Amino acid sequence: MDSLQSHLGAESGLQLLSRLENRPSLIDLDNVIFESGLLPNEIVEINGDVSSGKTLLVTQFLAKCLLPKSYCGIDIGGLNAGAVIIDTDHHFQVLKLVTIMEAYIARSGCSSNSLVDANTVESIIKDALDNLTILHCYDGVQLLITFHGLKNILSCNRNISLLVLDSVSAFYWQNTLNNNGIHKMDLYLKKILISLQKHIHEFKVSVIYTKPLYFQSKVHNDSNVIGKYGKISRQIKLQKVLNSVNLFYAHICDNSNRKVLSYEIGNDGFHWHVAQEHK
Amino acid sequence: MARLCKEMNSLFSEFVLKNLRLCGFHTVVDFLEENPENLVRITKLPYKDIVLLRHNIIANFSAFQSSGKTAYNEIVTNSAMVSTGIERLDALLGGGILTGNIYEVCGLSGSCKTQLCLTIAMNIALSLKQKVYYIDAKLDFSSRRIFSMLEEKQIAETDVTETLKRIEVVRIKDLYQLFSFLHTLRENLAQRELESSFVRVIILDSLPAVFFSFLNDTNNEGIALKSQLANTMKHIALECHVAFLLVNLASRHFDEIENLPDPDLTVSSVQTEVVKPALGKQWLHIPSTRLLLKKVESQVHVSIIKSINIPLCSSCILNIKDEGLV
Amino acid sequence: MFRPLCNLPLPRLLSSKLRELGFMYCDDVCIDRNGKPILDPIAEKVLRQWSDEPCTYWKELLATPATKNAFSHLQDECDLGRIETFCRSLDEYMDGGVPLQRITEFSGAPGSGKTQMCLQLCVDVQIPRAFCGLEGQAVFVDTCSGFTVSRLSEIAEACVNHCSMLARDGLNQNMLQAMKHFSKISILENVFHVLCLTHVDLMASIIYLKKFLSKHKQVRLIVIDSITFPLQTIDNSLQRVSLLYDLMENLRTIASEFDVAVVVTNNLTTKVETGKESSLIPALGESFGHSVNYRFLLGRMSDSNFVCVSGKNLNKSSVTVPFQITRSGIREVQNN
Repeated sequence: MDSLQSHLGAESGLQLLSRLENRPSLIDLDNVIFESGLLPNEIVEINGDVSSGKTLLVTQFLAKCLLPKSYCGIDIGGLNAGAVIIDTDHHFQVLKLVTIMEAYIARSGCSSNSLVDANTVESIIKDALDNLTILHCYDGVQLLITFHGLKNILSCNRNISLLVLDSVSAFYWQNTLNNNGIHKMDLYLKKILISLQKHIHEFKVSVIYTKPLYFQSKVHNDSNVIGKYGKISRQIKLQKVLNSVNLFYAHICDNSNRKVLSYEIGNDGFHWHVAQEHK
Repeated sequence: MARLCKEMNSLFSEFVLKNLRLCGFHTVVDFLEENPENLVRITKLPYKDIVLLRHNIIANFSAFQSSGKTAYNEIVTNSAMVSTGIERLDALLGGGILTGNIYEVCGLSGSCKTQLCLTIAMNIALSLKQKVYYIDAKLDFSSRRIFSMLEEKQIAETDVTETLKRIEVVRIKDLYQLFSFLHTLRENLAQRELESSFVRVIILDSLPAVFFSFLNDTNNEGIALKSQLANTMKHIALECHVAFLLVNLASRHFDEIENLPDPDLTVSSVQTEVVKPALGKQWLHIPSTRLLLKKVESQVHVSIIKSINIPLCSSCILNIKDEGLV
Repeated sequence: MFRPLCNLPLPRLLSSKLRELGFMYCDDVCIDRNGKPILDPIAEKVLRQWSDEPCTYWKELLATPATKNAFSHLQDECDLGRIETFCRSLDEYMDGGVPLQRITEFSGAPGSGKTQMCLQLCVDVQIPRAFCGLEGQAVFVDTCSGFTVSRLSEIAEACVNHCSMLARDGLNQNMLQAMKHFSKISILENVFHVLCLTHVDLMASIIYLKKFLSKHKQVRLIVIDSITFPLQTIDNSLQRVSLLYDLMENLRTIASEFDVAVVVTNNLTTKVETGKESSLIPALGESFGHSVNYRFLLGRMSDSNFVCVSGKNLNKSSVTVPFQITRSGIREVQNN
């Protein structure tokens, strides 16, 4: 790859520029989950059971990420950063994103401001949506080629600092059929992440990916180091409380500590319960 | 298209292709993953041509890129909420079936899954005057039943004929025929703007029927095909703005939760009956909304067990009548 | 979106051969050259090893099933007709009898009249057109040696007598003409009996049926009495279930391809639920119930009085219909 860049005169100039330039910071993405903030080049895994809110959590991150910090002097509290979502599971819904954004704006207190009417909210949201790039992938080959294309997207949009892959396991089964290569789920996951990292590591964007709970090899080794480009720095495991209607637990672990939070799912996203349990 | 061929780019001459294939580069992925310098050596093409080819391949074969704003505008203009014609069900679903999504109806055998599908198909064809595709995998489609439902509703004869003509039934023998049909359908739907009455809802009855023969497979072929089928349906749902309504079987499981010896020697085991959708854990993730049907005498209890938008465990009760489910 | 080769029914060897050569999608094998689809020369060579006519082979692989609207479906359904049972209230309950092109299950305890019902249907399917019958033939796949010729001839005789009475009373020339070829002997001749004692026999006969039916176009009814019996000997439950699915898939194909009614009989099994009394339900599990189109439960009330309940019927709600089994077969219950 390095030799390629040295030959691609024009492109590496662009890349140099993006390397020098700071992308918007994601430090404030979510103060509950990421106490110390989400750093560039970090990889975050969200795993969980069916309907535990994986896609919803991602959507919520995107909403905060895309919304502007302020609008005409009114504080909104977004991060004003761009994002890319590679949608392989097709559970992500733009309409849901808009609903969450509306709720977010309403919570930020703008709605009480007489200057902000429904039309303004809509235009804020539309502007924010312009920061989002959606890539729909329908098979494994397309996904790999799309990874190759990310370089171009990221160097053209210097605003993008978050990349979401929902979900990482979508094409695993086809892959087992297509080539007799990788059958172990952990290895497949590693392979996908490495090939993703290969193309984007120099752009210093953060990666969040989702995977279903079942998606791990039977003999699971806990080493989440993925090659030379970095490692999974955080894992968020979502779980539904048995026999409950709307009560879930999130196990969040990063390098230094673990914590367990409980939450409910509402129309506008996650509602964290204040009571926290430290381990 | 993934195999390198001369139709892709004029730079791929017979000579270039032959050399690439000799070295084991058959597909676009092989080409992209390889070091360009090596490719120069193999193909004897100038470096800038290799770069050009790479760009060309990425542009042609990577996922279509759209901005959130375009996607939003497209959804607002093109997607539709299709009323099922069953008031209580519409209320439960928040207005009806939303295009771009996959809905799943599951229940034990004889829990009125097919009834529900027939009623929805009839209502859409009758009141919305839309074409409905009904993919019949186990010969369950009964036009006689739809006919008698329409009669019961006292619909004029000409309207009955028109309604029946709007329901397109396709019988499939196996999974492969289903794939063939879906791919043809995708091509047809792509040009549907020309037609006056287009399709919003495609019903598939039933999903397990096509997968039964993969039950004993050792290669995970069934799972792989399931995931491919899911992708194909999602592609059609999103790009052609239609919704899929699938019928899935549910089966009973007995989960023995506790079997501790009780000090009082009273009830010692707690056995609960759990109704689970068929097709395995991979499939659980696929539909965006899943309805569970339960027949209780002449009523059907519908509850939501998976959804993105609707609160889980909300439910409604439908009555089985001669004119369908109400 | 491209269609991957792995979702075509290709032989495993062929698909791995193609994959080795870099073919991944249908569009790789069949290339669009100036608007005309042609097979890639390399792919054609590979395909030729499996078929002499690679082009036709390829086209058949990709063939799309035809669509038909519900209106013409309805017309077809009406044209097809049904097999009557000789008991009016049962026929009404079943919308005119046992439907062609579908799989109907009769389940019940031993002695609940399942085999009687099957024998009756074997006779009824042969009623001449002049009497609004189907004038067909029947195949009786016998897995538990329940087929008794003497009983069949009893039912046949009663049916012939009934028909000739109708013809005489009505002085209908067509009917009288038809009666010349409709006798007890002809009925017995038109029931093909297959004895299958093991599941291997059963599977083989079902597969052979396709060939048999393409020669005997008059067959309108296939009876399998019972489907449970030969499967009981398989200990491995996964093997049993997958064999059952294979059987059902084959039967479904036969039913729709040759316009025949498929009737299977099933036993009952005990279902235990916590907190409830145990109840009897049809055997072979939930997914078998899913793969039959109609399910009727039969039960014996007293000597010759029986009842039929629908376990799964698209068209009617569950009510109990009484019927009688007399010497002449299945009949309406006479109200004093």
